[in-house]
Formats: sequence, C-alpha cells, structure tokens
Amino acid sequence: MGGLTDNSREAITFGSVTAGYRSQPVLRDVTLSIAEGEMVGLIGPNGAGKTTMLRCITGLCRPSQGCVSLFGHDVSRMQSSERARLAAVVPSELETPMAFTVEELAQIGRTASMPRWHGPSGSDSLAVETALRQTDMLRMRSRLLTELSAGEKQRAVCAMALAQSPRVILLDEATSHLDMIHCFDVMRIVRRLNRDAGMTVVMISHDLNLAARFCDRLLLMLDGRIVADGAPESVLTEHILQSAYGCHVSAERSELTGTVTVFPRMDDSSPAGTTLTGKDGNTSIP
Amino acid sequence: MKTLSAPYSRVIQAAAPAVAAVLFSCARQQEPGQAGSGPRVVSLAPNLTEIVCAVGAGDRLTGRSSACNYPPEIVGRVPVLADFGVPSIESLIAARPDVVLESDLQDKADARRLADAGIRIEHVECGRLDDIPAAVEKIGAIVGCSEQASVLASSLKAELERRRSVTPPPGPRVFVEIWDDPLTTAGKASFLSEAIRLAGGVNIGDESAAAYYQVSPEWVIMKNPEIILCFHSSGAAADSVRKRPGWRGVAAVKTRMVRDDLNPDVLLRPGPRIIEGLRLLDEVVSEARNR
Amino acid sequence: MMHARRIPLWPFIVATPLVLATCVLFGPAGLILPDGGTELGRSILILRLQRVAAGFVVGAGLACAGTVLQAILRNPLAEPYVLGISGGAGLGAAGAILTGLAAWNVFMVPLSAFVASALALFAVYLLAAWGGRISVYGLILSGVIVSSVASSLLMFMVTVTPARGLHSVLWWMLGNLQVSDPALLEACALAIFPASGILWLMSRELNAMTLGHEAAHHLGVRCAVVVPLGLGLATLITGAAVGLSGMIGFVGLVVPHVTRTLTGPDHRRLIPASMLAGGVFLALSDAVARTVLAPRELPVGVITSLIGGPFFLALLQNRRRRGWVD
Repeated sequence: MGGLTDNSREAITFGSVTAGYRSQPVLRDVTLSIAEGEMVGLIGPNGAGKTTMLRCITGLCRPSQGCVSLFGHDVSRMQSSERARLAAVVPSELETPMAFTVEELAQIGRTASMPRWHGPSGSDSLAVETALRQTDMLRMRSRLLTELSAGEKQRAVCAMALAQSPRVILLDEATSHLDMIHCFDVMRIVRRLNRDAGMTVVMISHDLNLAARFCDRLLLMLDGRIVADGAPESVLTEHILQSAYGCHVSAERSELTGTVTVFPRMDDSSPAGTTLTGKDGNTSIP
Repeated sequence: MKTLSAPYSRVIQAAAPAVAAVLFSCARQQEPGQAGSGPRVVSLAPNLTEIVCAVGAGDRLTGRSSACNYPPEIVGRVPVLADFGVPSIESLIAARPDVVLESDLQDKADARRLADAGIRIEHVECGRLDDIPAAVEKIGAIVGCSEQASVLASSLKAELERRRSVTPPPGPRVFVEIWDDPLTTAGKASFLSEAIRLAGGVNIGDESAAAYYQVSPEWVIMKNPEIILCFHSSGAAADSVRKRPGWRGVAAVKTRMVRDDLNPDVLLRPGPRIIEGLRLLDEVVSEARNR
Repeated sequence: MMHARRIPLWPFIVATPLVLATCVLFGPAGLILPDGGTELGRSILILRLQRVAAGFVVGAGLACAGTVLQAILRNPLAEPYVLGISGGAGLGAAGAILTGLAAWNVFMVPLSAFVASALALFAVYLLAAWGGRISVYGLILSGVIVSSVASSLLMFMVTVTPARGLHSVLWWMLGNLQVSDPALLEACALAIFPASGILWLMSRELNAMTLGHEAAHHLGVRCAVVVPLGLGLATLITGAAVGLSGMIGFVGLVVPHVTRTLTGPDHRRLIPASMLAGGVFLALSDAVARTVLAPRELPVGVITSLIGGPFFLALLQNRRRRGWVD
C-alpha cells in the first residue's frame, strides 16, 4: 500500500499542543511521543482531555497551538484518506440505522482505500478477509449487526477499523460496554495485533486494571496535562492516583496476573459524596 | 344543412329583441316616485345579478360580488360586498340589505350566518338551463318586478322548448376546454354540456357524468373533436393548441375550428344571456358542418 | 440461519424495460397499443411514451434523493420533503404559475422550483448552523420549520389567488405527469441523471455517513464536503422533479425503504436499484391514474399513496427483512 513515507520513527507526536472546543482549551501545552509498536493506555478522570487527545490524533480537533503528527507528518495538513490509512478508531458504541452485515461493515472500513469507479479491488477484499479473520468473525460474516451480541458486535467494529489497514489503532473506551469475557476477547485481539503485527495501540479506558494489564505504558492525564508517564507500576501508585482522582486508592501487585490492580478505598456504608476515610484515618472530600 | 326552418327562425328573431330590450332597459326602469323604492337587493352571483337587472330591478341593486360584471353600468355604481361564493358577512350587515340572493355559496354555513345576523337570504337555484326561467320568476317576485319577470321567463322557456322539440341530425364533436393546465373539460352534469346539445353539437366530455373534470391530451386526440372551444385565454389559445405535441392531426385543428373568442360570461353563466350564447354556438356548429 | 439475503442489481435492470413497456399500453381507451399507422395513433403513442418517460425520470429522481437523504441524515424517515426542499420547490413553482411567468416560458416553472428549493435548503442550513455546529438533528428540525413556513405561504397564495390560477396550482400540488413540452422533460432528465450519477459515485462515503459524522471522519470521509454536496445534489434532483411534475409524495420515502430490504444498505447497489424501482413504481401509478376512471384523470400522487401504501406496508411486515434498525 502506497502512501506517505515516514518522516519519523515516532508513530504519534504532540508538540506543545493546546487544543479544545471554541474558546475553551482542554489540552494545555501537551508534548509527548509514542513510538511505533507501543501499546499505550490513556487514563485519567472525566474531563481530563483523553477524548480530545484522540480527536487531535485523528484530525477531528485542530490544535490552536502546536502540532500533532502521525509518523512525522502534520495531521492537519494530511489528506483525510491518507490519515484514515494510518490511524483507525474503535469507538465504544457504533450506532447506525442501517442493517449492515458484518462483512458489509468491514467493507466500510475500506472507504478511504476503495477505488471510486468500480467495486472493491482485490486488495480491498483481502484486507476485509484479514480483518474478519483477525477478529474471529469470518463465520459470522453474513450475519446482521443487529442480531449480534454486544461482544460480537464490538469485534465486528474492530474488524471495520482493522480493514482500514492502519498502523495505529485508537480504542476509545472500546470495551466499556462489554462484559468481562468479551472485553478480554477484544483486548486479546488487540494485543495480538500489537505483538505480532507491530501495530501501535492507544487505548482510552476507565478500567485502570485493564489498562495496567494490557498496556506497556500509561499516560495519566489531569486537567489537560500529562501528569504521569511510564510503566503501569510507576504510574499506578497510590500517591499519584489520589492526587489525580481525588480519592484514596489501594494499588497492589496481583500475584495472579503480575500486574498492578487498583481499587478505590471507599467506605461502603456511607452515602455517596460524603466522608471518605483514608488509611491514616484522615477524611477527605472528593 | 340548416338546423332551423323558416317559421322558427322568425320566433328567434322575435324573441331575441324582446330579451335584449328587457335587458337594456334597466336604466330606464325608474318610475317617477319610485326611485330607490322597493327592496334593497344584494346579489352574490353574477348570473343572479344579470337576472335582477333583466327584470328591471337594477336600480335596487345595492351590492354585488366581485365576479358580477354585466351589465356594465353596475360595475362603477354598485359596491362589491363579496367574492364569488364567499360573502363578507360584515360588509353585508353594514349595507343593510333587504334581501340577499345567493346561488352557489362555497360555504353553505354562510347562509345560516347571514340569517342569524337578521338578514333575509334567498337561495335561487340556477345551475341548469331549465332553472333559468324559474329563477327569473322567483327573483321577479322577490324584487317586485313580477310582470317583467314573467315576460322574460316565458320567452326564455319558449326558446328552450323550441330547441328541444327540434331534433337536429348528429352534430359535430365538440371539445370544451375550460382550463388548459390541467386540461379540464365539462361533463354531462355541466350547464355547458346542455347548451352544446341544444345547439346541435355533441360534447365529447359527456362520456363522464361529472360536471367538470381533468382529462389527458391523449384522450382528446383519440376522440378527435371537430370543434374546440377554449374558455381560458383569449387570443393566443388557438395558436397554443395547435402547437401542442400531437394535436396537429386533430380535426378541429386541421379545419381551424379552434375558437377562443367566445365570451365565457355568456356561455358559462346560467343567466338571461344564454339565448345569445346558444346563438353563438349555433354559428360555430353550422360553420363546422360546412367545413 | 439468520443470514441476510441480498438481491443483486440485475433483476431490477431486467424488469424495468418490461414494466415500462407495459405502462405504454395503459390509456383512456384501455389496455391497447395505439395504432402507429394513423397520424392520430402516432400522436397518442408519442404522448404515452413521453408520459411513461416522465414518470420514470421523476420517480427515479425522487427515489435517489430520498435514498441519499436517508443516508446523510441517518434517518429512515427522511425524504425530499423533510428538509423543506419540496416545500420550497412548491412555492417557487406556484409563484411562477400565479405571477404568469409560467405562461411566458414553460421552463420558468422548473427553474423557479429549483431556485426556490435551493433557497429553502440554504435557509435550513443557516437555521441549523445558528446554534453552533451543524448536527443532523438540527438540520431535520430546521427543515421542518422551513417546510411548514413554505406550506403556509403556499396556502396563503392559494387563498388570495384569483380562481383562474387556482386550478393550475392545486392540480400541480397533487402531482401531474402530463408533459406540456418535451424540451422540459429533457432538461429535467439532464439535471436528474448526472446528479444521481455523482451521488452514486459517492456511495462509499454515503455508507460511512450512516455510521455518524464522527465515525465517518475517522474512516477518512470529509464530512464538510460530502454533506453539502450530497444535500445540494439531492436538492437539485428534487427541484427538477418537482418542477416537472409537481409534488408527488411517498415515492422518495418508501421506495428507498423497500429497496433496502431487498438489496441491503450498500449504496453502490441501493442507489441504482432505488432509482429503477422508483421510476417503475411512478410510471405504473401514473398508468393506473389515467386508466382506472377514464376519461377522468386522477392526480398521480393520490394513486402512489393509495396503492403504494398498503402494498409496501405488507412488504415491510417481515421485521427481519427490514433494511434498517428500530
């Protein structure tokens, strides 16, 4: 597949980016770089700017200052089709009033690559087949989306994103509506792509444990800035999480998985929004 | 081939001037001491207005509809108090008429509204040829000109009966074009259909019992009328009909029997001038026969 | 099991000329082919062919516009009337008829219809953009407003107009496929088919648009281009169709629905299939309209609703075969 040649080894770069909606900046002077092949988790409380960051990567949000690049090329100067061939997004939910089949949805992933005048070409069909295989949806290819379970549907959406043949895949709370099993199904697929195909992954998640389990690197955001950046063990500490989320947490290394698990330390019997008792007996109000 | 034989044409010649004389004597009907006396009359339909003037009560006309345009002298003198079929209740009340004549109200409830307002409203059925003499008599009684009304009604009735008693040979096919977009014609229930029959023509629109309805150009061409009467525009209609795709082969177009100069006020209005209208139709029909 | 069936395009392509040829047999005289030997017979044949052609052109155009609007607005209830496009077209055409412009030149009616529908779309866009970013919801809402304003203005014109113009306007508002000038038919076909062709070339973008603006953007679609272009072309098609034949409802709403249950929602197949189905449906409805109460002509819009409605309702009963999601 032709396209831009890389200007950089870095898959995604933010250079002093300030961005937001209308007059309200959400991201403030963010600088970071993600190398190709990394699997990065983007975490932080609501309103921290995670979604804005994803939107900047896909060009939906233009920085008022600074520059966002994909493989060295400025996103705001890229053609939409070029960008779609580099980065794909898996949203948490995909709503459509039209009753597509799994295969038809995957084919929509080829929108940026399909020739206009005649139907899908050989490489398009191959990309669709590959995507369906990678998400284990081949045998369900003729099923209607509406008849799938949530987990199957989300795998179909992954297939659509994968059909774009991207080099970067962005998961926007992609598993938040899924139960445990289906969530892991999707995550395993993503990790396999990351390990075997070298795909760069950025995933936004509220589930800190999931992020800790699957990501090599975590970016913790707060108020539009990156306040922590590193391996899960170094980011998911009680001290850092307390200042970010404003509540006491407990962070322990799980014997079973070998990764950090986190849970908030909240008094179950007290009504929501009132006292929280910390380990040291001090109270704090969220 | 003549449709009328000699003695009957004499009757026509006698009747027509009588009608004309009565019609045009409106202005001279003012008897001394009776100027302005008699009921104040408002007419909501043009044919009723013509009848009012024809029986000699033109001076008592204190209101008319916007469509009432004959005789010409009332246009300036008599105020407009209604659209055709749609009275302005307030203006009518303000005019304090003694009687309101209506024939074809768009909203039948208006009659009740006027009655509730204390106005005497009289419905005069005048949609068919046979209604006209009776309407003349009724109006004559209402406005106090019964004598003139009788004379007029009798001559009208006589003329209609005379025509009915004569059975002319099958006449030329007539297509009546009331409107061109959509193509609208007159059916069996219409007033014009009767008139054409009495003039010796055959209205192709009689195929349907409706009064007025839309047809397709294809149907007209298939029927191949020998006369086309256009009532929607004057001057350009004949040309535009000829230019229509596919109409060139129609008999009426080939023999140039497309007429748009017939006065619709005479032919489409069931009123006292119908005799004149029938004569016009006679001329057209005989012209077509001779081509 | 629950595999979705998708009907290919070729049955539509094969059936269309057969049905259209059958429509030519319908006429006030019954189901006969006019005699091509006589001059009158030839005239009647030509008139019928023009009428069937007009029915096909208008039906295809309205179906295409409806399909595209349903995709861009992500709403199975969208149709050429929903964005005020037809209301504007109606106003423009009625204005041309009542001010006498139509009498001066027959092209003034479709031209006014198109200009007015474009203005209506512009007004809808302005209204929707007033509150900030243009959302689909905002577009539909503004469309309803503009549509009702246009209807009110039209009603107003109908009440104050002298009786003479009234017939034309009312008849035109009910839909009428009598072609007064073949050049008009050609002009409208010249507007409708190339525009539909362009929309067909945008099939892949339209497919993506049904997933929402954000998802479409991520897939590489330039929504800022596709939405105005799609809406604009749909307006052009609707303006031409309405200008030629008046306001014929129902075709732009239901034909895409039904076609989608048969061919699936992929616009590469859906757009041409809808156009063929819409053209055939309207030509058939018109054939019935001019034959069933001969010599009376019924307004074709009445037939499309009366006959099409129950038929389509029956077809849509099967829930699983629907082309859209409740």
